[in-house]
Amino acid sequence: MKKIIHVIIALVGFSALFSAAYAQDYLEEGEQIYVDFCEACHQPGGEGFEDIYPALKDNEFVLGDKEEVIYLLLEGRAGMPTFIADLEVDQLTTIINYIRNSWGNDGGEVTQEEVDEAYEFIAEEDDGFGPGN
Amino acid sequence: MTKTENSKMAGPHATGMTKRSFLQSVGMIGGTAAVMTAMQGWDIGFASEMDRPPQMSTDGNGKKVIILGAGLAGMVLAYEMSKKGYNCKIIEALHYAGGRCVSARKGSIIEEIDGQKQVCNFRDGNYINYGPWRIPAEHKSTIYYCRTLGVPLEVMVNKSGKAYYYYENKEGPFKGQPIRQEEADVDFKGYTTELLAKVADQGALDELITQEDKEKLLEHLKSSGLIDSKDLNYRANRARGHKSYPGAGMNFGELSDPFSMADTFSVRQASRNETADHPAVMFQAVGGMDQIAQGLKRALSDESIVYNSEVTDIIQNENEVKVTYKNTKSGAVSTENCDYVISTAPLGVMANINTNLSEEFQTALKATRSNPACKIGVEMNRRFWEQDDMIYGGVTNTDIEGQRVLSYPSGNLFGAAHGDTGVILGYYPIGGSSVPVSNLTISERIEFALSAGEKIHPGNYRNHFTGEAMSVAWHKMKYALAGWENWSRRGRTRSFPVMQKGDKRIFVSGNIASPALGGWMAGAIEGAWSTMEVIDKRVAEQA
Repeated sequence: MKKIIHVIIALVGFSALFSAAYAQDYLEEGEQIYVDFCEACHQPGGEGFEDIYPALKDNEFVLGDKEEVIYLLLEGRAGMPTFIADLEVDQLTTIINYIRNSWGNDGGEVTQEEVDEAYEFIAEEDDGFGPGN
Repeated sequence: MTKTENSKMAGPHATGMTKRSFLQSVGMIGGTAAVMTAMQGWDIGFASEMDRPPQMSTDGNGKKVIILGAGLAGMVLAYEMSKKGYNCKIIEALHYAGGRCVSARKGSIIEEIDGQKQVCNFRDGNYINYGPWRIPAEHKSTIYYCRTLGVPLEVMVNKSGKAYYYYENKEGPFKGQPIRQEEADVDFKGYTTELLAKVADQGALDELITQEDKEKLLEHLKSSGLIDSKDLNYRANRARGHKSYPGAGMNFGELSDPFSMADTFSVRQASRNETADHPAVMFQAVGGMDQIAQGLKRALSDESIVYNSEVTDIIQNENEVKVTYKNTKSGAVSTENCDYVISTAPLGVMANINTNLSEEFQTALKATRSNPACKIGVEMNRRFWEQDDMIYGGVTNTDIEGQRVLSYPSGNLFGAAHGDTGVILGYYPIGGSSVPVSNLTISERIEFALSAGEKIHPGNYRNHFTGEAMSVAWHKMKYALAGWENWSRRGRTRSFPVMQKGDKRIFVSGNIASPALGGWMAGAIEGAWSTMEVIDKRVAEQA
């Protein structure tokens, strides 16, 4: 039942959220988040840095399974840090959509609900102290 | 005999016994086990397997091991496994040993991947630990090497009550105003003591605790000295300090005034200055944390480490591993065969090495995340935080985006060791919040540190800056690409066990092998120890 509700929410969300207005919104906000949190490594235009930090433009992983991309942003993977503590969950959705749909990328949209679900799962293990020393 | 029982006995010195005669007498009563326990008490005998390297059951018999990376983990592996007869060689990409266990002092160079290069020009004696900076007492593994390799440690003051909390991003009475930690901390404790005492006294806890426990609780709360024993109100006293200090004669000084309860509750207390793994008193290597790495390096033979060598290929078959590396200065390519390879290279760096690791193993390595981290050391020509603010070591906590902490040096206190100068750790953001800072040019970083510091020490911070600073963004260091790495929740369960057992003759070690100790030196050391155990078992099976 829960799953069906999620699907319904996702479907309703899809038509409502991804109007042209939303797309415009995340492009603008997404660009600012990109400059602040991504560009230092992935460089302007998502071009990447040498063999070290991959280009996000035309990137197979970025354009692939969206759940993996959501988890990538939330918990890090293969050299990527987690941004779960640094960006609000709606900002995370925005930046995922920005990256998947900029510089000629055509990855389609992820919904807030999809990000929320992963966020809840990961937040369960938060011990209150956060990472690092 | 347990330790508790042991401590209850009259000590050897009390009876005038010598250490040996005491041991003999204990042995006569309790047998060998009793002697061993007593020796542990003096720290001269045996210890649990947690606080020193594991005993390898196998003899290396000259088996050749190539280790990638001369950081703490790589050097621990070479040091310990050589003792057991393994023929170890470390291949290091940089021209020095230490990996991320480094300090910057006069002449040190920090160069990031975008070509920004800094040469340190601090005055003699000054340094910044731009890698690890503090050791808790419970990191026995780190302390073990300092003790056995003769690397002197000193106190690192992790909590100074005189240091500040500074919050500018939250509305409230203290917005943009530094407040002393001891004032906010004591007020918080005072008001919570008052509230708890009052609800207990009014019977609100009667359903939760017994009458006897309630009386004990009230007794302890009153004996804290923070609340009046009759009306139970929090009252300012010496615990909170004075606004004018007492002196000779009839000068009893004047106690400071507590903040209001509501104001007090608006202050967030620091979380990493008084906990078991971040206690108030921590330790640091005298003269710079890099001394720990240098101690390990001294313990290795000169030919153990090949510098300026970037590994390009690691290819294994059933019988051996072939390692190819390139000299970064001459371009000369070398190939060597060995029995085992242990990579302690950060995983972001290892990702660029051509290997024939199994797909399962490679996928496992990708389940880790890197933690970006930035630091800056800002040199001051006067120890104003000591002379003007009474701050001796400790950490000021801020919510300035990208700063997080400002920490005062615990070395050269009072300028006694090398004069009235010092280096402040000006910022230390970790994780995603460090990325915007790393995107600044070197001069922008200095300006950011100065503007943040000036908010906490107005009139002093900019004024006493010598013009010398050293900053690092660890994720922009070519052979690190992260401050440290650790495992996501999904990664820990799905992939860590795959990584831990290695792939035939190739192993991955270092802090990545210690998910619970990510970013600590103890993580690198104990990660290396755990890999030794895995290899030991592997060799034993093959024998």
